[in-house]
Amino acid sequence: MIRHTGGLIFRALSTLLIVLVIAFFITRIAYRNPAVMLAPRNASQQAIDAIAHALRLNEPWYLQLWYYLYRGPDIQGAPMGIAHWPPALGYSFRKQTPVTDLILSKVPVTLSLALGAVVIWMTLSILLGVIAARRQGSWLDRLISGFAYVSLSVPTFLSGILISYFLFFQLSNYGIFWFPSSGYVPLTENPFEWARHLALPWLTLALAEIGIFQQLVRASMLEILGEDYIRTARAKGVPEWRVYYDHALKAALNPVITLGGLELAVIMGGAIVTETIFGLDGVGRLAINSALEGDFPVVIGTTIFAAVSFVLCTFAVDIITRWRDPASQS
Amino acid sequence: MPIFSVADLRVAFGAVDVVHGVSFAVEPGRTLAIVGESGSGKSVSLLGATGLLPPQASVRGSVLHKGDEILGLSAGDLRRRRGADIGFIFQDPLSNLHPLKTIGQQIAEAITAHRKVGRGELRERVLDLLADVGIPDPLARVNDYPRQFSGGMRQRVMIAAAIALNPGLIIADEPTTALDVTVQASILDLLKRIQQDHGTAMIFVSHDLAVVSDIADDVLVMRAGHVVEQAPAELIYRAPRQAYTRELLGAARLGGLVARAARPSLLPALPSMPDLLSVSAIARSFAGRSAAGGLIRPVLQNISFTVRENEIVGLVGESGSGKSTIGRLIAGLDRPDEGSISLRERIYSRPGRGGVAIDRQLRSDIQVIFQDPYASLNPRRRIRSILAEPFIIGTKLDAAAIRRRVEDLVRDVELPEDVLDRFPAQLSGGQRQRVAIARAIALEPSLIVADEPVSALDITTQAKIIKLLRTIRRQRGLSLLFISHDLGVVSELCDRVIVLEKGVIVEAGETARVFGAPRHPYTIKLIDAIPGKALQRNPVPERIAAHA
Repeated sequence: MIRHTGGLIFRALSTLLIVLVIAFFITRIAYRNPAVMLAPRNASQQAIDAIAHALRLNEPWYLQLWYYLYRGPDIQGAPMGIAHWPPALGYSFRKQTPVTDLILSKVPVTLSLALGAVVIWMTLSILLGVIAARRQGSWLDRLISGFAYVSLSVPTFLSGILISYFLFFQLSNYGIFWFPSSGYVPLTENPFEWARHLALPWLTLALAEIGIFQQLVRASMLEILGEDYIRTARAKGVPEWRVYYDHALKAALNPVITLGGLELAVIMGGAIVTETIFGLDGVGRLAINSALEGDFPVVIGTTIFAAVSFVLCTFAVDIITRWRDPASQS
Repeated sequence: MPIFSVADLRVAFGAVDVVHGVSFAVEPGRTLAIVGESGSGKSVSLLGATGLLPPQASVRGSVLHKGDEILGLSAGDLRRRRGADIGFIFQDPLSNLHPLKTIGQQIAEAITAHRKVGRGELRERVLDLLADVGIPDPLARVNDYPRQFSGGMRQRVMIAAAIALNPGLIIADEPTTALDVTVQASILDLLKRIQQDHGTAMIFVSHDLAVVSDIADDVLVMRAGHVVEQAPAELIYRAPRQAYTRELLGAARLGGLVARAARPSLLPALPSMPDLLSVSAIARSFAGRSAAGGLIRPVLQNISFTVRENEIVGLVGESGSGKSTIGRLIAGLDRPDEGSISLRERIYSRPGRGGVAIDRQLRSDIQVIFQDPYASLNPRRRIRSILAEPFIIGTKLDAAAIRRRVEDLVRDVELPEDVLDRFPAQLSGGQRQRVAIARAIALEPSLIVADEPVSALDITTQAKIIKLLRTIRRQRGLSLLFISHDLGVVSELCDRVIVLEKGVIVEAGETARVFGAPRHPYTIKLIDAIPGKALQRNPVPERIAAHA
């Protein structure tokens, strides 16, 4: 177990290092000179050169990587060195604040968005998937599958706008203001308002995922229902609903958990469209804005953050799988 | 009055009838054995009668349980009888136990599905049941998962779940087929004891008349969905009326190892034949469980033997004895930790790092047949392409020549030519194993390692495959290392036999000698565990003699 965990951590760290180096080089290739983008429109060449110099853009790449990892640009009064949290990922060119601070300030929004959505889509997918598997071939199964395909094929920018239109705009026409169309209230401030503000984005994200997950649950259930131990459960006289929701579902969840972890990581890395439509100031918007502005350190920082989310979600999936199936260890 | 009776039972899947009017009954305290090959409809009849078939199956006829008609009962009413009044034990205890639930949960569930029981009492009863079916240290094992048990222990867990509510009827569907012979004997004893303690009626399904001979009061022989013969057990064994029953009896080895093995025609290998394979002092161990702190578990110790040209050597032992590991080492799929293996005096396997890289010539010289023909053939390839592969890899023949060779091969293993365009799933178990044999002999090897090649097959199919192996040996002059836990099969086929216990050779010699006059207590124990002994010992009762 210790060796397994050790290996996992080693692989996670090396993954992060590789992602960091690749992200660093991509930003160098993608932009000619961020100093031009950062400078005012009519800035003189001297001014641009001054900016480039201040950001150390004239230094060779290995020094730039070193500064990025180790100290960030020279800013008066800022702590330096990798031991000094937070500037290990450098400073934003534009905002002059540590990248880590910038990202961490956006995490609560993105985390709330992702976790709420995952709960909704998993619950609905499992429910609909089991029902469809139980009534395989019936009109109900076909109806659910039809819904799944619609959910699969409608892009988020469309479903988000439609949800916003009907559940916010049309309702508000009737004087009903259940769901605000934008904004974010921290959970610690007011849990009810938190959920109310996030309801529509959650729904938008969940709708996009239910299609895949419902079909996955259904297919996995149908496979498990053919297993011998399901017949054994029936032979023991276990009630049908328990055969489905306990015996079969328990075994059918393996691929659902694995894919669920990956999808959660994708959303943590930035649900850009959803965040934009509902005006949520999350990591996704930070990433896209910094990319547009040529703010390298933030671009790399958000990439690293996405990679960290992947690593953590994989880790969580691993732990859940082991907890569900302790016998697999020996 | 019978506790369970079936009259004119018919089962159909769509337009295909699989059971054509079967009738039988079983009384409390008695055992009815239903015997037949796979596909004879024996399991389907019982599953159909108890509502365990998928809804596509149509079941007609009459099924009386405790005097009530249960065919056509609602799913809920049937459910209340299953488990509470009818206990089930199925063949493969690994696939029949839920992999993600502890055995304690699975046994407790047999109780909670029907009764409301408090937590403490439930736990007590589960522990009692585990002790009752002979699981050592139930308290320590109750939270373990099926994978952490051996095959025999898993089957005991299945039995514990089946008897949890003390049902009046137990339906056991091939409960010992996947088990070692000594384990099989202990499971049969357990079932017999439970039956005597509780006066339970039992329906015991098997493909092997020998297995049921010690336990059955009545026997029903089925074939292709029909009842062939139905009679008290004594009559079936002493005076079978139908030719098919006699065929089954002939295939079953009713404790009669020695007589067969002693037939002189089965000892054609001349002592003057030179050694083909020589295994000298090999040892192999594997890292133990991580919980034990990386302990080394020795699997084989100081194994030495030879296989002569044109000889069939049997390697017998229970599961865990290391016999498959020997097979893997000889086939070059693994390396020994000590010792060496040579073919025609050329050493090709000795200790070292990594897998054995044996050259192409040697690879085609040593071929393997595995136990499970379902798993060892690629399900997505036609038989033609499966059989062409060895030629593509091992020879430089052109497509037309390969085609001819493949057709020859199919004829050699006595398969009809039209199997070539089918997929493995469209073949019977016996046909699939013939394909596996054809693949193994394709490149004319000098040695075939056959790892339990007939264990997954019906007893009548076993007999045919053994005959085929014997023919191939005679025609092609190859040698065979035949690995099996089934002493009956080994005694019929092998010239010499090696008995393996826990990674050590305890006895070796001519088959007739080893089975006729075993010297090691373990060999004696194995031979004693062969079912059907009781029939041999008892003289024919008078009433039967009169009947005959």
